[in-house]
Amino acid sequence: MEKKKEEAGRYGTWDNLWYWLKKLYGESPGFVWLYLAEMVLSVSISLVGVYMPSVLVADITRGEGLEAVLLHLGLLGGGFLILQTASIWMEGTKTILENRICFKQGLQVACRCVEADYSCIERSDFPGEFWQLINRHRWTGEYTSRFMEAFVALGTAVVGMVLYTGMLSGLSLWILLLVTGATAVNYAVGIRCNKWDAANHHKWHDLDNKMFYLSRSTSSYEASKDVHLYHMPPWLRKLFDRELKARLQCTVRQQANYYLEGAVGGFTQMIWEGAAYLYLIYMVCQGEIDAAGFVFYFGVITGFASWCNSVASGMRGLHQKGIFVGEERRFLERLKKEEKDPREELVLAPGHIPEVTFENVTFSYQGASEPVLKNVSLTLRPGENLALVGLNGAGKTTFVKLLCGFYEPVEGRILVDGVDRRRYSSQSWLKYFSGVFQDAGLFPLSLEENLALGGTSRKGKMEECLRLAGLAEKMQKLPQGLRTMFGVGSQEEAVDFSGGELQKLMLARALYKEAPLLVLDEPTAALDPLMESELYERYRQFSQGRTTVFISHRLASTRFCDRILLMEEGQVAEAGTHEELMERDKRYAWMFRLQARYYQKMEAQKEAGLEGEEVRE
Amino acid sequence: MSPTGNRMRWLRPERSKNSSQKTAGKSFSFGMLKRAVGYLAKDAPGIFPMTLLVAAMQAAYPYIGILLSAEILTELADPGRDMEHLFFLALALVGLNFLGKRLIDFCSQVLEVMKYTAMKHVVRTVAEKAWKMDYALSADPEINETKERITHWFYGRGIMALSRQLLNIFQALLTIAISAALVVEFFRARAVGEGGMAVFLNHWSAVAVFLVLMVFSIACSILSAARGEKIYREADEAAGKPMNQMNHLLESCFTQYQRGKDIRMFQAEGLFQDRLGKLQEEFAGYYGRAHQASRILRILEQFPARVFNLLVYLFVGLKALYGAFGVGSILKYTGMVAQIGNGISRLCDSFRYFFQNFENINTFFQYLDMPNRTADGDLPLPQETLQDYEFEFRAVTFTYPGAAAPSLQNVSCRFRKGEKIAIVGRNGSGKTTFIKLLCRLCDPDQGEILLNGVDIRRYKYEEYLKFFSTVFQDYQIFAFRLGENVAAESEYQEERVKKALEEAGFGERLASLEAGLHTQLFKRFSEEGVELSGGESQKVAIARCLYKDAPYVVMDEPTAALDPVAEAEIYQRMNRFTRDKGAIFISHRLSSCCFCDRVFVFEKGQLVEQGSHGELLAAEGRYRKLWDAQARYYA
Repeated sequence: MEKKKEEAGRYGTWDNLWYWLKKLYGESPGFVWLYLAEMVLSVSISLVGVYMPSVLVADITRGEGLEAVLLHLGLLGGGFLILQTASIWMEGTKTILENRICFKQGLQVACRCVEADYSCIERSDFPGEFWQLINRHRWTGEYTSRFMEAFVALGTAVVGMVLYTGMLSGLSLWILLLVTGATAVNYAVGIRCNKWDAANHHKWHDLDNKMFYLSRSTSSYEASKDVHLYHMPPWLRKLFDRELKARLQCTVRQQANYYLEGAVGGFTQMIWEGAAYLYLIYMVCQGEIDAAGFVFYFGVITGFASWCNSVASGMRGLHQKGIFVGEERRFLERLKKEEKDPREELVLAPGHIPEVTFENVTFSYQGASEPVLKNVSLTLRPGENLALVGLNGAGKTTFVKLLCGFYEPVEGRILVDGVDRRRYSSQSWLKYFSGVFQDAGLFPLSLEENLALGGTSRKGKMEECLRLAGLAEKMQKLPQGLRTMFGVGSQEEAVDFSGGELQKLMLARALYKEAPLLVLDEPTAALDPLMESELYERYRQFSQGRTTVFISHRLASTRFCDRILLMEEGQVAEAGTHEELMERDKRYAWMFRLQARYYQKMEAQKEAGLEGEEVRE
Repeated sequence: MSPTGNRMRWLRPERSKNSSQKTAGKSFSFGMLKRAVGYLAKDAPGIFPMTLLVAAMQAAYPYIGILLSAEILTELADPGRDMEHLFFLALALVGLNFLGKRLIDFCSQVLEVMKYTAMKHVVRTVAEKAWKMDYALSADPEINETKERITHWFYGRGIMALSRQLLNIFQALLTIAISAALVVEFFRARAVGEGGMAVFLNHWSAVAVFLVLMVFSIACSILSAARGEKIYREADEAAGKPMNQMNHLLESCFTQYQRGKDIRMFQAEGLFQDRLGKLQEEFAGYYGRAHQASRILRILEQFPARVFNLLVYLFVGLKALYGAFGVGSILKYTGMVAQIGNGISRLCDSFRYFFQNFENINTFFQYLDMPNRTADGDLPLPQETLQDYEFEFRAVTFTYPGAAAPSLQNVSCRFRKGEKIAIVGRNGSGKTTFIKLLCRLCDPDQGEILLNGVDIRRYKYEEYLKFFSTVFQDYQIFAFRLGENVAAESEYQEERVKKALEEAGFGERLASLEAGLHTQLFKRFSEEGVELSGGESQKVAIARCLYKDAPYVVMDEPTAALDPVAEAEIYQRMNRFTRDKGAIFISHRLSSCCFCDRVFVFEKGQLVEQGSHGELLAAEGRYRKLWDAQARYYA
């Protein structure tokens, strides 16, 4: 929380506002000009609105003729009508322009996120921030109309205030001071109430979030099985009621806060309005002004008070917009690459497999106290098949992320054919990778697009890859073939794949991109034994002419790899071929036997299993 | 309503979500109105009386100002004015304004709290319905869409909107009534004088012209507003599809930010930017055209009303000029006209929304009334059943709705207390469907499942489910506290929960957590939340299963995310844990079959082999094939 504030405060409110105004102007100058024009319009409309009744009253009390009344009203009324119509038209035009700007800016944010370094978006609070920003751009107008309105409101109010002060010059200065003073009191109370609100906001925000979660996430189709079988409804209801009770207490206090603000505002209004009435009545009774003057001055005083209020609320509005802009700037800044330009493109000759060397690589995620990888050194020889095994959390996946260049080592270097990888742009390095990640999934696109993604689509080769991945049979069941759409919920006639089929498809995608480096992170967890074994059999074929890294909890998979790396707590504990490691008879051999024992001499092992022979040595 | 307010209302995302709704056949009926009112009144008894009170006060409030200021002005224009009386009037005006506003604010805020309470109760009711909804029904996309829709309405639509709509209607009626009285008074005031103008002002045709113009301007505003609504509704409908696609695409890239790795590795940045741009252009285009069309409509909507107001101004001015009333009344009468016009168009709007909304209310009740098939069974589970039991599948066939081929076909088998069953088979062979049927998440299309000879559908659903401890493939761990998740209860025995977690292999991690069982899981609600890795959450799911300690244990791929050591530990512990129970294990790691008493082999929805591990190996059938495929790597 503290840190957030600090970062958001890097820019001042005015700096943010100026920055965004320039950006908006660059986006659409017309949009900004329209708001300036509106400023003039709204002051004029309010002026005519004040003059009209007083002119009418004056004409009548003075006993003017029919023509004069008609002429005055006609002129003022006609002007009023034209101004109002122009204002409505401009409002419509602004909406048209805003529609374009809003969506465009939302899209820009999304596109920036697509391009950003992966390390910038891999954090659990990213989706929340992303959606908040996108929705604010698209629907709230906080960065367009409300932003401009805040400016215009303040500008109009200042102009109006000056103008009305001039018009009130015939009156006692005390009235003006009283109105200004009343507004100042309102402003101060308003600020206090807002502060209270801001300080307590997180309380009900959290409660709202929890209730939303309870009513939505726990009642989804995915959750339904567990909710039924663990008989959760009474519990969930209890949780909901608990949050609701706390929330209602908040609501009452929140309403009391609003009430206080409203009461103070009403009270000060009563004071200045009362004073204005008494003063003007007195003036009329003294014969200093007539009834028309009364109407006019009262209108002006009321107008003046409302301008004063607008100045105050305009300041508050601008301050808030500044915060929003700051949030957007901070978000985009976090997507920026540290040192973007000086990097070279890495170009490898077709068919060349680079040698990759980890040199004393240490890595820890930002904010984590313990490094995930500690002083790892190893060389991936061209064309080698490497297996990576180890317990959950040993650092295998992180190793792959570093290899692909999603993250840079904190200490040590990674060399490509003897050259520090940092010399090359990470994009050009990734070009030479293909693979399956543990958390890979489908995009709501067609099968063809999902397979090719950034590459070109060649039908024959796609079918070949699908066949290799064991999807030939499934393909026959898809009438649309490669044009089959994914994304149930957003596409009509979309299909859904089971976990096993999905994993096969991910494999097909990895094969379709012919890259010299192939990383496979648990590609078989959901596959049935036959499919798994088929995959192993074809592994040599897959890995022809590539360096591969294979991560798996099924130690059988290590048998066809040239070298096995056992990772433990971020370090390479053992390395060698299966036979070598078995011979060494340490952790790897123990783990292998643990998994293998059921597959050997069944009867004896069954006994052992039932007796619960201790696992730990 | 201000133009800006209007636009924002039109732009709200909720609207586009609702736009795709199918037009339900049934709309307004008094029965449903009664039910809806009763439903709301039950949750927040004061809501309707308070609504009426607030409406009445709000309608009356403006007249304090209108009437008293007219009084002041009249007296001011009178040469024989009395300053003290004027002071009294002025103070009465500001004082009453203040008190009135305070009272209205207070009542509105009380009403807000009431409405909030009622709204949350509605949300909870919908959630509760969904929690208890049959699993088969909760898989139905149409029902889910309905649920999505009614949970997005909040105050704007559906049952919660009823209170506001009734308030609007009542308030508009009051406004019209009060203003109408003033209008009558206005026309009864006679202009004095000889000229044609004075005659016209007193003539009935003046009233007629006034009425015609008023009806015309109101009609214009209502018709254009309705047309504008329609344009935006159509735009919402048309834009819904590309917008939905775009949101899904964004979700797949950014909510599932882990897939960013794939996007970058396969150089798909361009593809996504391009696709997002196209979808965006499409739906922004629909809205753009709607905005274009509505710009002119907005003028048609408001221009006649403004002209009418101006003419009224003139009319009032002329009557005053011809001495029908004093200048003070000018403000009163011009004020009243604005009020009556407002009142009438608000009334029309309110009624339109009111009737339209009944479609939503209907949807809401339809959702709540949806019958659960699981509610049919009423047989209690006899105590003896827990002592000894046997399940039997008798020629069970099951097809998922909409699927071409059955997922289970003519499956018959028996298994009993104390037996451990392993289910194996290829991907998509019906293993998970088998256990879904056993746990009554789905019911067979043909055949029956018996517990001690009684069809399981005859037992009370909730009691029957107490029979099972389960870990499904896609188990859910919720963002609550750790202990609550394991116990599926807020009050639990800490010792038992701790033991279950230790048994599931979570002990070491538990010891490292400062808040222990009270640790908030996941960062969703707080920075202090603890994220769990795939393996860790699987262990929590297993602990939940152990804690429930039901007579029958069902596990679907319980160790998929675990490393070999954790896997071996879990198998041993499960073995001990299920010693006196019955259990079913589904796993692609056939090693789990070794310690099971019998193995069921599924293929293409059929139970093709069953027997002990040894028997099946000896039979050299499909099981042997599967086994060898895996075992040879460990030889």
